[in-house]
Amino acid sequence: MLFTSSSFLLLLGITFIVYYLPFLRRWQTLILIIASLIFYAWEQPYLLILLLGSISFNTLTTQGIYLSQTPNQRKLIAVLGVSANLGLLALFKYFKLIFVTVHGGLEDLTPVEAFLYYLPLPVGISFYTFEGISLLLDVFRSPEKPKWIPDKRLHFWYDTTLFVSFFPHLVAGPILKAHEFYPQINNQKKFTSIPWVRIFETLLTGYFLKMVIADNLKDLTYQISYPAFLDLSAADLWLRLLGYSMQIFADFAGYSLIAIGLADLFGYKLPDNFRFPYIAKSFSEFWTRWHISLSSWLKEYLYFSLGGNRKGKIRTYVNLMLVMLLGGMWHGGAWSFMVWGGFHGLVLVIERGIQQVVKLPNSIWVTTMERLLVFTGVSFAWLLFVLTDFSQALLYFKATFTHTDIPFVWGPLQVQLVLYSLPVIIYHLLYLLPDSLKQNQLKMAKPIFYGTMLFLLLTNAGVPGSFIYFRF
Amino acid sequence: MIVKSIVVGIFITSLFAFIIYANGNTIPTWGFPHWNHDNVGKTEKVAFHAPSANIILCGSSISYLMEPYLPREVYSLSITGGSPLTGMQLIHQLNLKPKIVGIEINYLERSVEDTYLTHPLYSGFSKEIKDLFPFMRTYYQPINAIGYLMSKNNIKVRDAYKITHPGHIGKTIENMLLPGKIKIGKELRDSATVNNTLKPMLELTRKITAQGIKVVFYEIPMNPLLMRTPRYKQLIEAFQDSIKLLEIPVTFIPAPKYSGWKTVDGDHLETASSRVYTEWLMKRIN
Repeated sequence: MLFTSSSFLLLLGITFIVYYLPFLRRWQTLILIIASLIFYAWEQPYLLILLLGSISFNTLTTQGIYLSQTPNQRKLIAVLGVSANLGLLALFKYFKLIFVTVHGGLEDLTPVEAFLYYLPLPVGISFYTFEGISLLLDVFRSPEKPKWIPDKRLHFWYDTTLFVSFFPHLVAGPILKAHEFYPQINNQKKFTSIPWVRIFETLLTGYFLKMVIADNLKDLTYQISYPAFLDLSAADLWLRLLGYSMQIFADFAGYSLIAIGLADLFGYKLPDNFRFPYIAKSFSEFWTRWHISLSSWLKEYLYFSLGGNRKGKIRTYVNLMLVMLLGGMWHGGAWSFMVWGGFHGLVLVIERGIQQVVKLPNSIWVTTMERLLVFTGVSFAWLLFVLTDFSQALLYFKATFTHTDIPFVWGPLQVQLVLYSLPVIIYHLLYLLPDSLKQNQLKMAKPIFYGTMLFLLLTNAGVPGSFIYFRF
Repeated sequence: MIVKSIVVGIFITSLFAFIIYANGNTIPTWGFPHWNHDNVGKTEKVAFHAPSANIILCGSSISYLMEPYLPREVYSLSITGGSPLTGMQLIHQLNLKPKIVGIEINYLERSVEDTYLTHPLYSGFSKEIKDLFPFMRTYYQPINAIGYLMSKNNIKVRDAYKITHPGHIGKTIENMLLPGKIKIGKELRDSATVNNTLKPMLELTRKITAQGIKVVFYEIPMNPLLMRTPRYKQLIEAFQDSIKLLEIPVTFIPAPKYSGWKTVDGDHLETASSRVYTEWLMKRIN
């Protein structure tokens, strides 16, 4: 079910009303669980089996961890639990890739191989698997049973079901951490406590980014495909690259904002997923601003587990590369995602190395150049999300410098690419304004911004497309 | 803050609605920079204006190139990247009653493109809202209009079919027909795709004719190489076998025999050829 579909709006409306009925307040968690399961099962009900199986497995394994008698037993159960989660993810996500790479083709498949090869990728599996691992590791790292875990086993299963299946974040994040979400469950939520202004701002911005910006840009950047881009001039290729960077931000940040706003509507606080990523002055800063829930998950549960930066320079570089490669792989079963992760790992390593030797002056020109460099690098790396054949991505990169002989035409498509990119650019530039201006003049201009977004939502929504991160 | 924002939103929207009402102009459908907008725009145009149409043509991008030369009373539901079945489905869904429905057969193997039938701002209840509030229609989109006005060169969607840089897109079909690279020339007869699309085509034709509408199938000339491939010949045979099963009178206008047709990429006619063919077809379709 898409957040932009009418069936979802109906489900949301009914759930909201029932949820806040005073005589049903003690059943609020159950109401959210039922709504979430309907949301997930809407198009492919059989996927519920996998989701509920994963929830039950992680509940039992977590109980096994905190009930175990010896540290070794604890460790063994935790390792088995994490491995099973990763194994499930690998089966659905990477079997095809590994099979084709090893087998070389699809001829002479045995019935078992054919079954495994044609298994569809369950929506949201990358997200809920990581949340399951978060639960296991949070409990494993705590010397005692954490206070946020209820004593009754059934009650715990019930809370875990909400943690994993809560519909705002279920299919495309933000990825939740157990220790942040569980303490919010079971506190009865009141209608009078709803932060309406914050929800209005979050939902309106989210829907605007998705429906007006991302859905329109999707139709303007379609020529980043092979062989279509071979006909474009260098300027056109740069323009489309800019458009795609804005599109992927608008699509994913839009989704995340909608998820955060919806959760807020039911009294739950989800973590921020984006914080003006394109103004980052370094790649390491970019990763504190882009898909924050994934990068902080990787940092907390993987980078720190590997030793982080506490085991010397070389080990730090190796850890960085490893985390980014795995982060890339998380995005999908294609080598291009690994290359994408490898690129980010490599630039992080280089950047760290340079920062230890060179100290750049803190001037506006240097900062602007740094920002442009990071943005350009990040944008070129996005090519691997569209052109999953690495050689085609390289060809595109080369063409941005060599297609200077093809004339650039300032037509409606080019104008619209700029127009639809502008709100995202303005959004990022606003961040750079002095705080005094943000607090006074900009605050007064808020109704104009939101009023305009409302107008464009009514009149200028694009042809709906699914969220880019749904396929991850 | 919420109230203020809503008031501002209503004010801008009212101003926009007034400008549209006072002006009455619409962006020509070929002003859209992408076929998705164009497809939605034209389905909306047909939905809101077609009761006055004499003829509605259902097709793919092959028919789309005829649009500039169509008489005013002829509406086009040529879905770029899509199928004539989409247009047929729409005519049936909206219970439209033109005198004639023309159905292009060149790309019959494509299935219905649901996007243009289920677009949430277009279908069902929302269609009624758009009936009530015309400023919400796709062809009035303000950013489309600004883009159209601001561009120095009003390149139309159909210009994407023109060869601007030799060797690539413009030669796609020819490249596919080269020995050793034949993709498009493969046999098609047993293809499930064709069977899956011919069956709904027959059903929709029955339903449309039951609405008292005359159905005319037409074939647009393409590159002779393409029209001689086993795949294409089998498609035509499968189509002809199918219309025999209809047992209702329908007309089929095959592509005229003439060696002068020129295409830009193998299947889309060039501007001059498009004009000649459109005029030729309009004389016969009536």
